[in-house]
Amino acid sequence: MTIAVAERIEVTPRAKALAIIRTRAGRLALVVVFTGLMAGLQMSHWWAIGICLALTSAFPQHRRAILLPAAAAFALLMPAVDFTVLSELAPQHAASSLLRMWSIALPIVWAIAFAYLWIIHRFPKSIVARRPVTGLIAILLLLMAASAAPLKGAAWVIVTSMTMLFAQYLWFFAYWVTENLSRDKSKAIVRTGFWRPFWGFTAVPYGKGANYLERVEAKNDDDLATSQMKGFKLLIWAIVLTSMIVLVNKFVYRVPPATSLTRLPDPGLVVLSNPVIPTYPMSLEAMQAGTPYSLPMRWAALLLYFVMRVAGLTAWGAKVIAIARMAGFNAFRNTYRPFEAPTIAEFYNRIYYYFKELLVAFFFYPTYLRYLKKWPRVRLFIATLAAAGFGNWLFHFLRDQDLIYRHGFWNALWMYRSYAVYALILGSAIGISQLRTIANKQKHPRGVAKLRAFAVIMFFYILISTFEEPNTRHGLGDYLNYCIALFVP
Amino acid sequence: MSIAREQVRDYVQKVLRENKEDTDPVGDGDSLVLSGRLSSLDVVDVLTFLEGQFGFAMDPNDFDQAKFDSVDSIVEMLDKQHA
Repeated sequence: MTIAVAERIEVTPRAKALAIIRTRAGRLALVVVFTGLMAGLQMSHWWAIGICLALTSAFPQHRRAILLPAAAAFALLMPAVDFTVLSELAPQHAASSLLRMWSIALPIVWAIAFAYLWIIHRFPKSIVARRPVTGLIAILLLLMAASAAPLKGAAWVIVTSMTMLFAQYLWFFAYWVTENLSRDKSKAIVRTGFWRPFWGFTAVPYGKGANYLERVEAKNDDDLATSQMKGFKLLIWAIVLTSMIVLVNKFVYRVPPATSLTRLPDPGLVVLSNPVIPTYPMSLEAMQAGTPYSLPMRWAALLLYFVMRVAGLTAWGAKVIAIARMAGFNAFRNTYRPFEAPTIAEFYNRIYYYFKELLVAFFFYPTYLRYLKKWPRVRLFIATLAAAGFGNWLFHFLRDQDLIYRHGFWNALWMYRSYAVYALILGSAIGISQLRTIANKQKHPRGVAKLRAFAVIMFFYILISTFEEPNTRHGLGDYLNYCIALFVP
Repeated sequence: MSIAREQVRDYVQKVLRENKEDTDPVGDGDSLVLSGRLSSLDVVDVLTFLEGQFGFAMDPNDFDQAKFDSVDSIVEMLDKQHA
């Protein structure tokens, strides 16, 4: 009996595939196919990612050592600097011919992070040691103030690039600093390989920090084979979702030729002439212009846009985590079956896991552990509001530096008022949802109750998505009008 | 600390059962957070239990969800605090 079972296990396709990619040659073959699929998906710098994956697959025992130069190479290949804004503003600062000097800012920003950690270790009782993340945000605000000074030439390019870079590295530094407060300090250098690693060059640390990634890292050939197999499957899922986005773009939005079909049409750049269903920004603008679409079309526009955004986010997260898994880090998926979430809070947990984890680590827990211990329900609600409300808003405001440079700090702050309302409503709803879960009043609905819960969750998220984008052309009133118009024929 | 261990294990099982409909047995060394069995909110649930039951107080700068990854690691935290 045992032999029969063992034989059956041996011949399953999965077991066969795992046996093949357990070898170096098998892993490299898989990386070649994976890289080809990335190219097909038109992913940025797919070839460079392919080289990094080939190295981590060929020499898994040196994975961490490979990550470090890879992260440095990607910092130059995909700079975290907004060159559109830099070139736009350079003439005012007599710096048009000096934009290449941005690269000087990169080692300076890294050096600031190291100096900051050194200060924390040297002065463990200081305010920065007690509030390391607040200190990092304060550094960013100081840099923003410096870049607003009347600087000219190279000084302007370097200070502005430092600010932009620091904003993009902020949450990587936050994980790095908090994880190296008391642990083995010798690891601090090698852990810089997790600063904007080659799988996720965005402001959100996909895979969180080293503490998590080191725990899910493949320890042997079997682990690596499993991780790579799961990464490959996740990339296939990204292809399925991207195909859906392409089909909607081509046949429903009817985007013009020479426009990317793999992402949502940018309302500021792409003009859709005759879509079957308009995008939400199109529908919003039509209403502003006094020629609104019909009521069903207003709903359809918002609904499809929401579904497309969920698909886009899921596809993006799947690609990032697929690469991380191919590199040997078997991390959680970023989006995991959000439409099966039984509560508003759980939907948020499932839709954008790594952003939620960032908010939990740097806003929820610090608030929860410090304040209101005598009022458990208020404590939970306020901590949730601090994370999904304030933290969410702050993350986006600090990340979207272009608005600050184009319109000034205070104007940018004002432009973010609709996002503040969105974050406040979202944080409150998640807080209430969590309280209901803990109070055991809303658990695992079944049958009709499950359908009703699904409808309520979707209705809530679709409706607040009207407020989600900070936009220079639309204000809070426009979003509110659209919401009202969804219920008025 | 065997009583604490039992209480922690029972509470973790209760959280898994009530919050996740997860009735699988919990071994003391089984991964709970990194395996995805416990979410952030479930960790808050366990943390609040530890505060109320054992007077546990966590330094906000020392917080790491991974410390709640198993019954063993939770008990280790309690032991350290009471040492």
